[in-house]
Amino acid sequence: MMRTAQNQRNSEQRSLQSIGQLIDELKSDDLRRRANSVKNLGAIAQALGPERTRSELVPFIMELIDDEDEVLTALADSLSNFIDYVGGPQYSTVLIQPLEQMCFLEESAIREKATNSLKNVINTINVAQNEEIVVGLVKRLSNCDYHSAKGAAASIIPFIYSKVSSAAQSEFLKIYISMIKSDIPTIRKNATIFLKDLVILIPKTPENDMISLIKLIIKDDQDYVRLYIMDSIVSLAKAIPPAKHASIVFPLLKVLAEDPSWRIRYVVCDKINDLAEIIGKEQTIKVLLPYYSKFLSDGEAELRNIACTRLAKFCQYLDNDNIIREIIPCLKPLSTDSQSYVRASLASSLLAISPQIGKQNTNDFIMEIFFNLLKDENSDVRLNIFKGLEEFTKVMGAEVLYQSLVPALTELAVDKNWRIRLSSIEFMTFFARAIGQNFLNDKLSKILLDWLSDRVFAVREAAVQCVQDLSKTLGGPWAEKHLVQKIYVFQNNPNYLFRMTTLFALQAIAEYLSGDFIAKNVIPNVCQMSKDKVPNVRMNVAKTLKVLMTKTKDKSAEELGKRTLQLLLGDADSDVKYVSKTVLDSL
Amino acid sequence: FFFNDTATTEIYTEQIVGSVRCVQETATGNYLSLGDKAGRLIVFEIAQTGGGKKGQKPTFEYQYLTELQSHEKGFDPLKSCDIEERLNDIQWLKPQGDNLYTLTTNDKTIKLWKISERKVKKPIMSKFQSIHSEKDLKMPKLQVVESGLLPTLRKTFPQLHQYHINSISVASNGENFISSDDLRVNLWNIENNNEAFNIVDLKPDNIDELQEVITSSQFSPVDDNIFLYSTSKGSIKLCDLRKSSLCDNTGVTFEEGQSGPQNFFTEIIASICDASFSSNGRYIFSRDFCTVKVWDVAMPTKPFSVISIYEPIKTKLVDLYENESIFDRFNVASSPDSNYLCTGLYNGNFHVVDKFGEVNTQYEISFNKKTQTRNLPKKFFENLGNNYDLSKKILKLDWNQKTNSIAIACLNCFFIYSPSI
Repeated sequence: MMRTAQNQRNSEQRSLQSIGQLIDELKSDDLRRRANSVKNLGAIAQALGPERTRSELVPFIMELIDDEDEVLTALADSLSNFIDYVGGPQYSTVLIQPLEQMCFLEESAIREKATNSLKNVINTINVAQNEEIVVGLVKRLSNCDYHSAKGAAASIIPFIYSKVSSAAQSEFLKIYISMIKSDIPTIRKNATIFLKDLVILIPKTPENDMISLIKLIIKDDQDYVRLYIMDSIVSLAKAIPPAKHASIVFPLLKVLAEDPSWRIRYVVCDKINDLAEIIGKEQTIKVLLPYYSKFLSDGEAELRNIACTRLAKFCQYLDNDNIIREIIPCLKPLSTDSQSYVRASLASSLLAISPQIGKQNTNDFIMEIFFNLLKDENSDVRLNIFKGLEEFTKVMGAEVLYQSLVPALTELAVDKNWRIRLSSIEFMTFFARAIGQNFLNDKLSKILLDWLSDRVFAVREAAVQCVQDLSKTLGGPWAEKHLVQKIYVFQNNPNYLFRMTTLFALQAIAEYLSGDFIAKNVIPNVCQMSKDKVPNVRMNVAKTLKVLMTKTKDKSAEELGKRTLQLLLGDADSDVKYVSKTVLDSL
Repeated sequence: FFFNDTATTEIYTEQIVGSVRCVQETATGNYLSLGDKAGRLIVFEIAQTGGGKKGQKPTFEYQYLTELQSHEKGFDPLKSCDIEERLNDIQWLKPQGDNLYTLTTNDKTIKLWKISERKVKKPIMSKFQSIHSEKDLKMPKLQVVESGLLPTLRKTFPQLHQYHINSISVASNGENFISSDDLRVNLWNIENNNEAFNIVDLKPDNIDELQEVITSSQFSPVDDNIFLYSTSKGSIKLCDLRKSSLCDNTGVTFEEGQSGPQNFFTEIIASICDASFSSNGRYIFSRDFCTVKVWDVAMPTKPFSVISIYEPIKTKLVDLYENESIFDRFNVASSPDSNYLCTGLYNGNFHVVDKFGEVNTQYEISFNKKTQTRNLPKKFFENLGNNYDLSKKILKLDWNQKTNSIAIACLNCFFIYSPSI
């Protein structure tokens, strides 16, 4: 009894000691220690208790605000959940003060975190009863000289708009409008970024006001202010009834989609699917499709690129007719686009539309583009084609693809960039699944062997994994008949790394092979390798034997295995000895 | 009206080490900074000391404010060569509140510095006490260790330039800036020091086919989508960021064809040392070795005027080629009303010229005596004697947009000239 109490007191003292250390390190010279202390601010606050936290810790925190970014990020995070440590929502103002100071900082990442933490704190307050607190906060932020603080105000206003009284709401609206009309572009930009959150609240926010604000921004002469208005237009479409779209939303969209600045058009194309979802299929075909076709053939490469990435999803809103008549003619020139990243994006999206348009149409229109991209000189393009093959095969059937894909895969498999070789390995399994047992013909088995003896370990490792997948998909008997023989090729390779590959591969497929086969075929071969001159190989023999012997019950194989392991126990290398011992013990 | 500078010179020699590499005034005209060869940035505050009453011309005084060591000598392990710490360019950003922000760059790295009033507090070391209960936990007491105008390094923009950076320029929106090296121009956002966008790439596929390099770049002071860059072949390209993401081919070219007799030096002296916009953004002043060309932004076919700075310099071309001074890069700066420009030369001379080329006033700075000025008529020639000092070169200068005075850097001193009417 005594001991337990003593232990408890000791551990309390120890943890108090560590809290004391954390407190001291809040102002340590070492940045990492300061950051660590700040991360554990909650523990400190808990030890101090709510009253001391309010009266001592939080004022001390104000001293930390002039510190490095790493400390400040941790601080914003910690303060986010601090409301309990200061004694509950009634003391929220205590937390608002340091977070508000952090909103004045120049580093935008930290301001964002501080603003989010402020929102968390505000969530705990009963806004209806404590309106002066939030209104006061917003007013202080928006009256400040620093542009950054106004951005924080713009972020918070939509967040609490619905919870405050209508008098406060009109105050907030006035503040927001003055930010949008400000002379300083940075303030207009920050206000525009969050405008979408106000717009989505229509009809709580007055519709006409919101629309006139959007119209103001669309005419702004600063590119980077207009950049963010597309989000508001999407929100507007969501908030107002579809009947009004034609008269209000679409004219605004037209201005943006035809903007001479490419960045604005880019944002329109970026969000085109969000808009399509809201306005529905009919309107998409009528209004959005013309813009989209233009984007696909835009003079600016970045725009063609973003249009290609949005292709698959956008086509879901169209009829087959539209796709064939309007979209597909644009795709052919894109497949020979001068910029490789455009072609790569096309390759990722292209095949996803084939399920939608069906086999015949795919055959007539897509196959040609598909072959073009398959022969592309840029490896990323070809790789992306392979990624979309699953859907494509379902539509076109495996046989068609087999003929055309094998040469392409062969080329990718020997690409000079090892990451490309690595990515191409996954396609092997896909082939196996699609084509079945007749799969591993000469060409493909050569590719597989090349991968197993690749210079780069990551590729060999993936090849072993591939071998395992193949065995799983095609079955043990197939593996026994076709695969294992080929793996043995490396057994006597002069390079020890490849001899080890044999062992890794055997380990990987062991569970798919029959016990009989293992006993008669595999174990004798593996035991032969125990006489290898490289200790690494001998060690892996032991490991492999472990895996193999658990799969077989054959007595003579067991005997052979155990004898080999006993021999290895007396090996010159200590690692070999150790592993053999472990294996023997476990058997 | 006639613009006439009298020499109200103030010479600062003590603080400056090595030659001054760049001079920059803030847009608000309140601060001046110098960057020197040793990687230091020195800041002066411009305070109005007199005048302001009606009829009286305001006078200004330059007070030393602070300095900071911006860059250190570095080493490039890939190329096994040193990276000099000397500053190649400085740019002020708009101040926020009482805080000053400035970008400095050496050959490879750009840094963002903040100069602000700060108090550095450190905890008072107290004796270690063992903690028995919560009551013993105490907040550290802090004392002020340092206070005053302190510089802090806010951001370092990584080495994204393969070649040496020759200029940086901040957009009028204060959010973006461009940096240019010999072959590329990159667009950065002040907040993001991880990535930049490449907007101009002059690198040919075959490096042996290299014909021209970029000599300087600048954002328009008025329009934050427009920037220019100048090349060694004597052309200026004006590009719009809104038109396309890669501005290699979509720029407007300002170039005058080669006319007149060609000699060995023609190509070398056609290289543009510095090109900058006038203060109102409507003209481009481009300085090549012997002349300044004034272009109207709206008319790229032919320059508005071509002003020969100092004809006699052509007689010294051979000497200048021998001591490599022919590759010197002279700055050109615009007056606040965009009607005048100033640029430097050798022998401690600098010229103030009006944009029509009608008025060309030459000033000769001397450390011991009063500055001599004289007006040069259009077709002017004189024989240069032996005491024409080629080592006294004025490369860098800047025109204060608020106080209308010119700051000139010569060797290891700098001079301020205030206008008098």
